[in-house]
Amino acid sequence: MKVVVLGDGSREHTITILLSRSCISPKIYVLSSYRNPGLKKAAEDSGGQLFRCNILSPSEVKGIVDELSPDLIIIGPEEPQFHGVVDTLVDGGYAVFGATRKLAEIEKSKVFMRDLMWRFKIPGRLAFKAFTDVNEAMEYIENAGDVVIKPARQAGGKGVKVIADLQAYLSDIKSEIRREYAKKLISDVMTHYTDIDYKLLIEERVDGVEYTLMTITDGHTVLPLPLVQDHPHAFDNDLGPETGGMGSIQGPGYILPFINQQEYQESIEIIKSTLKALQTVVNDRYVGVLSGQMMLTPIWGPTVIEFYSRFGDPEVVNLLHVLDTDFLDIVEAAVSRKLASIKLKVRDDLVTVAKVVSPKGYPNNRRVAKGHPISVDEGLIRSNGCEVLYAGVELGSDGNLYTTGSRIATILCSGSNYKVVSDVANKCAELIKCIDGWDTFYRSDIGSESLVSERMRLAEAVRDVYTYRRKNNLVSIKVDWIPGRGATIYDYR
Amino acid sequence: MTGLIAVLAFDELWKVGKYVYYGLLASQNRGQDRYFAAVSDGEKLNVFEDDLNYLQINGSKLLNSNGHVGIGGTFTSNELHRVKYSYLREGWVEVAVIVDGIVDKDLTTLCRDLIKLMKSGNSLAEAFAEVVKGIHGIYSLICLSNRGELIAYRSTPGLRPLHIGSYGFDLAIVSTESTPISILGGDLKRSVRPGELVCITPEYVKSFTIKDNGRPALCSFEYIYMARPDSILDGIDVYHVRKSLGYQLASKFKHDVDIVVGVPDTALPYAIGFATALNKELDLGFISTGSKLRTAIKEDPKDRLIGIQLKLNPIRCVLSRRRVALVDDSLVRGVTIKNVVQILRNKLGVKEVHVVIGSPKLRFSCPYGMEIPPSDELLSANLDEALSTKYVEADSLTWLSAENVIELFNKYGVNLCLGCFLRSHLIG
Ligand SMILES: Nc1ncnc2c1ncn2[C@@H]1O[C@H](COP(=O)(O)OP(=O)(O)O)[C@@H](O)[C@H]1O
Ligand SMILES: [Mg+2]
Repeated sequence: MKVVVLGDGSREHTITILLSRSCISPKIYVLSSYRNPGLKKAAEDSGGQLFRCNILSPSEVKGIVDELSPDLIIIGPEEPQFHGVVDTLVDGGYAVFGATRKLAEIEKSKVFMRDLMWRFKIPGRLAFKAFTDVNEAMEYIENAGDVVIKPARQAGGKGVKVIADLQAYLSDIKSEIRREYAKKLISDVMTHYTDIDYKLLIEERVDGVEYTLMTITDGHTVLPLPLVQDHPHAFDNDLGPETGGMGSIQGPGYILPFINQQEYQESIEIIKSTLKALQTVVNDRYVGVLSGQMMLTPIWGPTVIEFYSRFGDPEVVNLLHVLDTDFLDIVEAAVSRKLASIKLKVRDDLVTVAKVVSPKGYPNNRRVAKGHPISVDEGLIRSNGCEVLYAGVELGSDGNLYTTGSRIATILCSGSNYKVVSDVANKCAELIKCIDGWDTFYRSDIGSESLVSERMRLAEAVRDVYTYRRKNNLVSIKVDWIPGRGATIYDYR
Repeated sequence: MTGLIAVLAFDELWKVGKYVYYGLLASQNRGQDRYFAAVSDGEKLNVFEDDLNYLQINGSKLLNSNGHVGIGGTFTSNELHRVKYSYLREGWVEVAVIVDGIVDKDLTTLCRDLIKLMKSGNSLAEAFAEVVKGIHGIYSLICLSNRGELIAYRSTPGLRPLHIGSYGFDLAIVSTESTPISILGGDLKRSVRPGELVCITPEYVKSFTIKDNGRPALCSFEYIYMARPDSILDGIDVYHVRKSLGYQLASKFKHDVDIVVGVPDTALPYAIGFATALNKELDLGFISTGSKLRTAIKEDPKDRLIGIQLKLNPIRCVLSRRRVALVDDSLVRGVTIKNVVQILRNKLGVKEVHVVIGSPKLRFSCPYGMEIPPSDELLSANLDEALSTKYVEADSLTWLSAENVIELFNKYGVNLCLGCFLRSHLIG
């Protein structure tokens, strides 16, 4: 059996390892934009091969796929979906695991997503305003208060500005930041994309504990995976700029120490309702992964921050040590629309911690973070029971590994309790180094006792409020009023 | 004392002058006379210093300064003979440093040593890690270079506090107390560990253990008087400490009163705890005039008295012809309380005044930088209980015992320095 995996990061590396464990032992072919050593090895070990190509080009991808005529194609990242790669492959008669362009709007356009949630009254929605006109957006931003500014289109985890604005004495500086930032977004980010009319999304800001729920679907059945929590801040103690994710924790079992079973169920219901609504408006069947990046908030309890039309990276890495069902079986069942036949087996005796190692300069100054030769002591990492999933690493023509400027690799570690697992992961993260002396960094606090218990405290406080407000019917409406422009009413009921 | 504040933006869109400005305003409880601030745009340092009274009048230069990282400190005039900050430029390197506490090294020399090492290729953090070996003292320190490197260090055993907070994805905030972090809209993340050096730049946040000798110890006087009641120091709510101590005071109090009042503002949490435990009515006894002054740390005795009288205008209908428990946080020279007792008795016709103090007898000056007058100026170091009571003209005088304080802090599982009450410093 031949399987094609499209993509180039640690998410795809995870997928190839999951596939290689299948009792069917498929030949894995990887289509990547650079030579990721992990993907290359996984492909070659299986008897397959890695091809470099422009993974955003439907025709280039189809060209290679036509040569291979695979039995199954798995799409890792979201951008190829946005570019119609899935549509072209499906039209070509292939079995594809991944959302088509229109379905992937759920991730690509945060405006579409919010709009859908309000139209279908899906719980966990937030008040928002979308703008096509720059001037109008600027005017709104002036008086917007406590909001989050987002590019209307998913821009690879770049571009969200969360500006809590509750101190009048600091508010003019924040207005200025919002204004400057909105301008920058429109000129730097949104001009790259001509595939969307909306420019900016301005959304109500909420506080709480974030977590990710990934699900696999065949358009009918939704197979929820264990919850995972990502850590977007670059540095320890949740300090520093937003990254693509510096690591994640999972377990034990399907929930997290700070998210309970009922919140898990409610989150699943949100994904199910969204899937149904999405298929209704797009009139297509969703085959692939639909994930919710959620936050437990005082307004709703489980609340949607955004959806992914793919696995989270690094979130999917955690599953590597706990998924006991043949991953290939799951994917095959999804593409052949028999997902109901799959019973998921997940190890509940383990917790898993994934830690990302990044080069200094990531995320805001990737130019200086690029091109450093690195060494990875895979042997020692394995002997600690850990795994390395390669991300922003390229195999150079000289045989050495070089940073691409993005996250280098993810270390995965598992065991019976977070503290021990986190400590081992830290030790292993030290085994990834730039040999030219350039600094690397990772978050030693991910999975630590103090951070996990901090999340538990925060979640407990949030839970106290939202459960109380629900019980006493205090969930109501939000009124947005701009003097001279009339009011907008958001009904949360 | 000194209130330290530092703000760094990870995204250079931000100008942090305004944050430093409000950080200084929020740190005035630790120093109300002078301020010093330095702001870096990644290339050069701009420095600001003046009388703190003028900050709100002519702080616009600081407010509008360009730069994504800045530090600041507030100081009391008692301490100006002991310089707590320095700025130095040599060649292309500039460094500014601010200290809370006591160090045995002249700060200009410290800057010079740092610059020398930085010129030979070291980062500010590397330079400091070297220079710190030659510094002895009990202190917290922040330091900023013209390149925008920020470091924060808290010496062992941790008597001077230091905290780290953040504002979303955008700012890191370092501050002596946690309150300025929340005034700046941020979230308190943790305290800096004694012996820990934290360095922060837009590209990394790193922590080094410079010294690790044994159990940390916290300063009891921070909790009793110095810190703002809305601060959380090393994970312990200052307000909760004060209220609990007030609660404990009730078990030592042997008199009957009609009403409990506290001396504003510091003693109010004690009075709340005390009245609750005693099950007596708590009322507002005084209203202050003008800006909030911390009377105990004024140097000139006359200034102190003026401060007290402006701060403590009594409310007649609350106090007149009642039996009153008057709660204060600490008894330093006794001048404040004596003055209040006289006013209550002579002008308002209060029947009985029982003075209740939320801390043990203060008897020793502090070698670690807490501004407590020398022993010969401390009431409890010179007069016994009976004479002290007569001196302040109260009907009774009640203190907490050191055991009360130790017992409370044992619950938190921390070591405490009670040197100003017991002489033997750093017990626990
Ligand atoms: N409405 C919101 N309120 C508070 N924080 C938010 C909100 N939306 C996003 N965030 C924060 O910003 C981060 C990034 O936002 P997200 O919508 O996930 O965009 P992306 O991942 O595409 O950058 C989230 O992980 C969350 O921490
Ligand atoms: Mg996101």
